[in-house]
Amino acid sequence: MRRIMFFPLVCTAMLAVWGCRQEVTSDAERTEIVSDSSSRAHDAEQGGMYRDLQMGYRKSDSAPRMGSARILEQIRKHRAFDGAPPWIPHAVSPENERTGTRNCLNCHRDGGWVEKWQRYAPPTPHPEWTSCRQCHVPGDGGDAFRPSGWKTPAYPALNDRSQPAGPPAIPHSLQYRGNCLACHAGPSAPVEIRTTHPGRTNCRQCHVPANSDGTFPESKL
Amino acid sequence: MNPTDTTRRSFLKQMAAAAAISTVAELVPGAAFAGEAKEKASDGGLHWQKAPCRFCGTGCGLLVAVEHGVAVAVKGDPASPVNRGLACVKGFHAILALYGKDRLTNALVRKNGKLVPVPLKEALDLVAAKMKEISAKYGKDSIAMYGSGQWTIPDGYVASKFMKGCLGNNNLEGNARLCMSSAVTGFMTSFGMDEPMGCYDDFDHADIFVTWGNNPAEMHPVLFSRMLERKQNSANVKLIDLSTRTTRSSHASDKHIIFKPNTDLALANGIAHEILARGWQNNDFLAKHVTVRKGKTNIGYGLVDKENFKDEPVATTLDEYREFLKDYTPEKVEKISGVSAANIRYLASLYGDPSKRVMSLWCMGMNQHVRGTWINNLVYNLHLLTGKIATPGNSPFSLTGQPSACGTVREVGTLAHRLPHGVVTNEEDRKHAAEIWQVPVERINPKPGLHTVEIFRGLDRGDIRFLWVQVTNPMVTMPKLKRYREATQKEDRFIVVSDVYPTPTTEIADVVLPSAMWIEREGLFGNSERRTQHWNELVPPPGDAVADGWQLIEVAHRLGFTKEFPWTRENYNEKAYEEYCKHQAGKKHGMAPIADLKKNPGLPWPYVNGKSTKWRYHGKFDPAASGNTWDFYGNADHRANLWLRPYEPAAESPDKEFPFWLCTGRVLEHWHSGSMTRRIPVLHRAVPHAYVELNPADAKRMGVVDGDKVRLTTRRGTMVFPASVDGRGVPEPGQVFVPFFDEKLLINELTLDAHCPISKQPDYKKCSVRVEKA
Repeated sequence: MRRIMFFPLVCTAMLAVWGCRQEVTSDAERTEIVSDSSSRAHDAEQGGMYRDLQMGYRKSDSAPRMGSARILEQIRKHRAFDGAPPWIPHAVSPENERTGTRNCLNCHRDGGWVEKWQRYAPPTPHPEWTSCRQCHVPGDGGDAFRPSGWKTPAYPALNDRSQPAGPPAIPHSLQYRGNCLACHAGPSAPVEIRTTHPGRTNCRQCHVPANSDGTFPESKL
Repeated sequence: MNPTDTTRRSFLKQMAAAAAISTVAELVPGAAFAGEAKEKASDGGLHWQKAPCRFCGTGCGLLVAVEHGVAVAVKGDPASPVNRGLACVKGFHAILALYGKDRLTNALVRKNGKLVPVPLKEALDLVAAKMKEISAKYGKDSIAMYGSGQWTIPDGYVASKFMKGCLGNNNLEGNARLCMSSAVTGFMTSFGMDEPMGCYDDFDHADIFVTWGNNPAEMHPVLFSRMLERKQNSANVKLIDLSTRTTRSSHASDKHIIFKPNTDLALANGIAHEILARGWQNNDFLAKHVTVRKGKTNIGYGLVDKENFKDEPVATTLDEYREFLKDYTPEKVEKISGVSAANIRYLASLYGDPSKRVMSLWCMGMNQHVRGTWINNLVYNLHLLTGKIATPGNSPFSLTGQPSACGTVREVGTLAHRLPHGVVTNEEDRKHAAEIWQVPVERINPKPGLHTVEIFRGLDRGDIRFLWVQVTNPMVTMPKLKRYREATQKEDRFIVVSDVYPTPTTEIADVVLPSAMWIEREGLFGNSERRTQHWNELVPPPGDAVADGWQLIEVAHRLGFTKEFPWTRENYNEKAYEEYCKHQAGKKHGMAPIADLKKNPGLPWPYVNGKSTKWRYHGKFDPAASGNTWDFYGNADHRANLWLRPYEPAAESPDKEFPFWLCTGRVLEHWHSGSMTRRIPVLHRAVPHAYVELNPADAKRMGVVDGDKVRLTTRRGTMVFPASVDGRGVPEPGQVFVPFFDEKLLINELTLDAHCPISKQPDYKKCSVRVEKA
């Protein structure tokens, strides 16, 4: 009887130790990602793995909020062209203006519900770059200095599949956008590009970059 | 457990929630189809081609995608060792600068007071005729040309050959005189050769980064990110910010030390004093590789027309240097600079620790300085005292502000005293140039021409009657602007301006020539780390726009110099570059051939036997250096110079009437005079106008809140600016800061044209100003 009672105790203890180790490993892995400079230059080659399965939510976000989903047009509105760094669509704090970094990652590292804006914050695909305002600037300064003739080029089509049930190809450059689930999963992901299977973490197992028009030259012969 | 961690169970719950939201959202009619009208097949067909960024001197490699003759996307080049795929917000939007609706596409000639469009040929005929006429009437030295560090290498080379080799006229300057000439004279006086000994690899090796009067978080963001990356990767790396104002760089640094304006001279001497007092100097290095020198003191501020200061350096001893430094004990320097003696000792401990690799970085703070040459010398002193130089991570590094300030103005030598190799005053250098140019050596004038401030003063006095401005905007960027703008409007002055957009400088022009911009023509730039980068013409220029260099060649042909420029519009870039390489041939400055540059994201010089030299002056890395250790071969004695340079105050310090310091500079989003970046909507919206930054305590005392109007008055004039209180930069009490990019709020109306008497570079960072609520 004593032995029977002892067994669950051992199991619980083992599970607790395992859980702790999992956390340590996860932190260590994160540190490794941050500290490995070579990975940054080649984030496009990381195979689409992403750093946090809980991407897009905070622990406190227990209940999903309805009516806040974004659509592609909304996020395209804040970019000069496909691949350009989006500008900041909301006011920034004086502290952020002074430091050029502070507070951005509070919301944009892992996402989550932001009471102030009544939105889910989109997580950045590149939280290791911390000088945020180097590339992202406020976009609320009024009229143009002089009229611009710039026309945003057409975005690539979605659902570029080689056959009806095939996995769609990746239609954009992966530079600084190699962390697939930052944009394709979670509550801030635009509905048109949300994955139906966020649990399958090795995205580039099935989705490959559309680096050409898909025609192998010789096949034309 | 950190707040972002969750259990597997809550994770699954959240994923279920995500799916629910997704489902709900997909039921919103039309939502999923919005924007589809704009879509096309795929971006997979994009063809990316390399070009260095058009903006600052970092020299990021970019990739540009072009479709149907229009640039449609730009990104950082992952293959570039400079930026490894990163860029800043300017680089990430650089192609938008091509497409302002008010691009200059026609030549314009002033007729009855108005600029009217004319065929390009007619405008070029007029320019050539005027050059001939004015030269005959007022003498050949009444002609001047003013370009910039945005000139491509071939264009600067064409300008140099045209002015110096064809016209025998040395009145050729580049606006790098306003931003880099103190760096040049600093290098020349300390090492006998221009440009940094190290390279950007130093960012990956240094343990300590000391920024001197520098705000790289905004001015060199990609290099700043490299510093942050290095810091993240190594626990012992420290960033130390020495400045007169609190900036984004200060916030990101481990320690921020504020000094009073112009007292960086005393601070550097104070650190040197402490290094010697503690015995932290590298005696072996000093004995073998350093000569101690001193020059004139109380050297003035260049405020008088035609003033022509000449230093008289003499060799001295380390003992005399120790004696000289007795005026710079940490306690004495604390009184001058406001930096605590403890902080001076701390800085000395960083420079003096043999286990730490130190990189010092600076840009305009040290260069736009009435003692710019001296402060450059004094920071080199710290690296020479400790032998921390020309090895990986030990690197005094002068940053540049323009994409080819180094490549063109400094290397090709579009300055009044320079030739593509050497100086006009040296007979051997003149012979070398004449031989390559195939012109009689007597044609090259041995007397240096006028430096930039003197060209504009000469225009006022009447010594200069014809001025051709290319790729720069002096009616925004000259100090004490009113005098020089009025000079251009005087009787019998003829001004030609080549540019891509209307600017305050095209407004004062008699002829405006439309220029092809950046990737609308082939070109080469040279960045801060001696890296030469080539790009092809990627999109056609609009209307009649042609490259600046081709405009010069067209006029040279009209003046009879066809033999000197036997090139075509299509091949002149390659031909000019190939000829330029002959001037620099050899182990000390050999340039990479164009074929190699086409295949690489830039290659630094000296390029010897197919290999770039990363660290100069050290036998382990530099084929030109003899032995296996340091060899400062730029100087005749193969030693670097350590200089006795005292602290002297600024030209104009605050007084009762004008009690504040006025400092000017840039912001991250705008580059130079803003003529390109303000036409990029995302950049303009981020910072739509200039402002005056006030210290919150001063603002409170004056009853000024953010956005209030504030009047600034100097001895040059008065202007009203919106106040920025609690904005991105915070000046010290008694100081204000204004960015200079805004052509509608031209702070240079108020600045002073005091300059370093050695480098002739104006000090835009220090004059006195009265500040009142308007």
